[in-house]
Amino acid sequence: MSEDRKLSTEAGEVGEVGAPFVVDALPENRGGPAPPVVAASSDDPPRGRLGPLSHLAAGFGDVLCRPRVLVFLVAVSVLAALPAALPVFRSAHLHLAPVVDPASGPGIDLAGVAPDWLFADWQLRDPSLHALVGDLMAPAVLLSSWFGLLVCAGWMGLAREGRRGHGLSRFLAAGGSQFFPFLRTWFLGLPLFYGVTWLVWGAPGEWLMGLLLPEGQAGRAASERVAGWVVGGRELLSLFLVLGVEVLLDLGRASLVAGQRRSALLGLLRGFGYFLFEPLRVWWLVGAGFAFELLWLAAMSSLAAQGLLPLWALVLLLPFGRLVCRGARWAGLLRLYAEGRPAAATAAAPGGLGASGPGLA
Amino acid sequence: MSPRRSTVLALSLILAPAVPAQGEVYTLPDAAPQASDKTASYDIRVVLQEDGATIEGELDATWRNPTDADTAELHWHVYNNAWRGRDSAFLLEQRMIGDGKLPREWGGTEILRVERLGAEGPAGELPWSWQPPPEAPMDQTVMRVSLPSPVAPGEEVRVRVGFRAVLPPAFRRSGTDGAGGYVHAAQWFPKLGVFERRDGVTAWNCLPYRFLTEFYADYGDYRLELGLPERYRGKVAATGSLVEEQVSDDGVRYVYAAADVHDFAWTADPDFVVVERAFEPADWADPGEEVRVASALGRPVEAVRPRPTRMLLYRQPEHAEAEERYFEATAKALYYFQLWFGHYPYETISIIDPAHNARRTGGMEYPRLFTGGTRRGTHARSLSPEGVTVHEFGHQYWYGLIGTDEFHHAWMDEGLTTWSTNRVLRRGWKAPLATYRVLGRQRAGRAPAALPSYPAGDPRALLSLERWETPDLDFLPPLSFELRRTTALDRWLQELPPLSYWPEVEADRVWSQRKVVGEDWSDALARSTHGLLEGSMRTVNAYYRPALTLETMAGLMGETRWTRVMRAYAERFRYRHPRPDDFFAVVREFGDGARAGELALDWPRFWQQAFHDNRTLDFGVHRLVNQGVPGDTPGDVPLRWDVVLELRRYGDFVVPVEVRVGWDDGGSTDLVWDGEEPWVRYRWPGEGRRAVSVEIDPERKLLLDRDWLNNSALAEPEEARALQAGLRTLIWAQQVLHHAGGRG
Repeated sequence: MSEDRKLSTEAGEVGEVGAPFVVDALPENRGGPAPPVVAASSDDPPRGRLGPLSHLAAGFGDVLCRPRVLVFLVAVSVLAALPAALPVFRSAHLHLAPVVDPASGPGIDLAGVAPDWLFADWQLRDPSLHALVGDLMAPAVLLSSWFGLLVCAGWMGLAREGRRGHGLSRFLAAGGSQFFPFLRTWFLGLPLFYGVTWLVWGAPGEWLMGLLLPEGQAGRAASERVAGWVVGGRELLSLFLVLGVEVLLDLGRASLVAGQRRSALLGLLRGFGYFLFEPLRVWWLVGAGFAFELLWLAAMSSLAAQGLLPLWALVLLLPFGRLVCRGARWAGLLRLYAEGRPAAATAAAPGGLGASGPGLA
Repeated sequence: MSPRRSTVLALSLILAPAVPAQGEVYTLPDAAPQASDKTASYDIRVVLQEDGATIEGELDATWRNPTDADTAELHWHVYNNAWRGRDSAFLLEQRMIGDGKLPREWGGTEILRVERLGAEGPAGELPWSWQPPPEAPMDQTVMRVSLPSPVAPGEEVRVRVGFRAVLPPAFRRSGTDGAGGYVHAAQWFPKLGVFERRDGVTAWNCLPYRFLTEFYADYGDYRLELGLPERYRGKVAATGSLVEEQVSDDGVRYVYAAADVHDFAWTADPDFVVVERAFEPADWADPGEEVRVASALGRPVEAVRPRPTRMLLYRQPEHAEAEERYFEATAKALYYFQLWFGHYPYETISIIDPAHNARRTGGMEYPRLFTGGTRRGTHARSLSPEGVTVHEFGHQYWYGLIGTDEFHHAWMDEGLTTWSTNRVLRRGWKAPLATYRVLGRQRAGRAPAALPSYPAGDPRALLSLERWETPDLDFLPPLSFELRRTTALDRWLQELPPLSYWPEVEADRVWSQRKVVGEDWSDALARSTHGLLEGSMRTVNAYYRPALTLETMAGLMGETRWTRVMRAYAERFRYRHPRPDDFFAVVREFGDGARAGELALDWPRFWQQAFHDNRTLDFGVHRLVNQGVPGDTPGDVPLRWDVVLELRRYGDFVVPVEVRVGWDDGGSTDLVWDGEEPWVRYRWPGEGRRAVSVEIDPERKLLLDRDWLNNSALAEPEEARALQAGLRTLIWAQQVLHHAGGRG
């Protein structure tokens, strides 16, 4: 019986999904000896697998019971965005704050309706502002992508540990321990992204467009509706394939965490193997995770549109909800992967994961 | 410098006189002619071939010499030949300024014969040749026909021209869908140029078709006999009114007639959905504006009230959602243009919604017919198609009824049309919102910032995870791998506009056009359109800059005087060919006497600066200080203040400006600074109140002022704005970085 299998067994027996949240402050979660791993023997009766939504729910549990981590991540989200926001604040302080509201047209409160001329004149007064913000954001995008690896490893690591690790240090330790293998998967992902981009936007995509539209150009289509569907479909296909690559990479990372392995290439292959055999379960989990995130965004958007949420509240609530949903997706994926496949579970873990890894709790 | 010498201080609101002096009875005489002088009239008989692109037939042109000089030549525009080859003047000029697009297929017009017509019919062939400009020797867009004897002043000559025109797939302003369906025939037949006296010389004004210019021709009566394949039955729009229809085995035959126009265009598309509506002015009445205009012109309200006409919409089947918007826009344009600039004299106005694959024919004007253009999924407050519809209708006046020379003075058409379009849109609709488009739908919002887009070969592109490229090193071959294509959908997911964008950014038509004022202007407004340095200057000099100049003049002059200026110009030059000096003469006639405070407005000087010079208008607040008077303060709070206000003229455009100072007791003081000196200082010593704000041009009359942010100052800045701007950008950056955190 693999460690991956044990997690699902324990989860099934203990009923983690519906378990009350374990708060950070509970002393039993702080550095004490790990509870004994309940090893399921081969004589155990076969149990049904949990559904993807159950794993996602467990993932939500994993994330929400770690408020310190969430506070840390929200703080990072604010701090990381500050370098872009501060020059804008400074520039607005210099150029917009002293301006008298015009007698006609919208005022300059910048919270609701703002006049377009204001932005044009602002750009004239501070022509390098947009370039500065853009230049600050570009490296931040790359660093965020890498920081995302740490966060992913952290959530997966904590999900692997079950309710034992709750502290921020455990989160960072889990993230740090797998950061470099994850970074290698990041680099291995680049050719995959290039591949799907080429597929949709390169020669194959152009060939397909040539079949669907005259000379492959939307502007040459006799019908705007048809052109719109083809162009929109291409964008959706591109998005779907990119998402597929990202899910594949996440599964590969889940295999690294579940098996405490460090080979990025093998991890990706295992992830690919799992994805190949269990695509529906994976998409269910990922799709449901995104659906929850969309619900959160819709709620925030609606409240903001009604003026019930000030901007400063959005600064905190938006990343909170999004980070919870994303963390839950990662934790859920780890649990889903660790549960294994029915066929493989009787013999070996997904991708041939053996029993050599540390115990899962 | 003495501020007293250069400024006038007024204690009450000072505005240019907006109405005639009390007791003044003024009546603007109606100078609009009932008909044109019909210099060039045409009887055209053609057939559109089965391919939907080839038009073959002949025309009989009757030309009367309107000048006091003889001529033994006739010059013709054959503008369809701009698409005959890559070396036409149009395409050469287009390439020179950096646009290398070519038609997908070549078109062109072949001249089959040119004959003089006598009383009995053809009276012999006439020799003809192309008249290429020196810089484009292969150009064939101007044809010169030699006459056997000169045409004396007032005499007529009749000429028959046989021709075969092949329209290219829609390229610029005219063409087809390339599939035998939609066809838009514009500049499709040989058309006479204008023989006129210009700069002291009487000659043909008939320039080749160029990239930066449009059209110029004489008025006349047109009759078009048009044969088409049967599939076009009932799906033809034309400049004229339909007077005859015949259906036979060979197809359909329509006869159209149009009086007092200077061009003739037609459009046909088997897919057209044709809808006709009556324009009833009462349905769109704006009684307050009717009374104001009537009062300004000194005419009865009934005399200025618009007249009914018919609107014909030819729309694409998939643009049903735009039908009401096209009609509403056309109706409001018909209403306000008639009210402000005189009656629309024709029976119909046709609105063409171009086919999707022929959108390059959209947004163009022809007498009694114009092409609009819209897309599916447009936002209710995007003013599309309203903007283009009102604009193209506006050309019915400044291009159609007033025969502007667009070769040399495009601003007199495009600029006046842009200005009057702005007026109609401001009056008829809420200000449009800034929008973005995702998955075929337009949504409101404006991004607070944007990620940089690094050019090809820039290794920094990897930073935004879009491309990976090898650096420019000798030992490495250049490699580029696109990691991700940022589509509109991708960008939406990355930025989450509903939460991170400014939700409602109102783009007032006039105020938004001010962005061109901050651009580098290479040419003055007076420069001939075909002689501009850059193609982008045509947009500036023909459209926005004159529109802003006109609105500035209107603001300075006051609405009553301005109403007279525009009405008098529109009526006096109906069916004529005015020049800039003609327009300015009308401005002077009605603008003289307008004042800013006690300062008389110097229109020749204004015109020189705005039109002939390339001057920058920019006034700004340099300093506003409230200094507590020493020794007059019990405790820490001063009771009296020395208030100092310093204003600067940053540009070289001199014009009087109004200034409003706001005080902490709620009162205000209005001043007028003549703007002559580079700066001015105002002092209010020992005031018992503090100045809290100062605003230059508080009514926003000076649309040419390049920077409005320096026009005002608050003693205590509104810090909340900076916070809102910072927070909005923070949220945007958070979403972008969150998205990146899940990538790769």
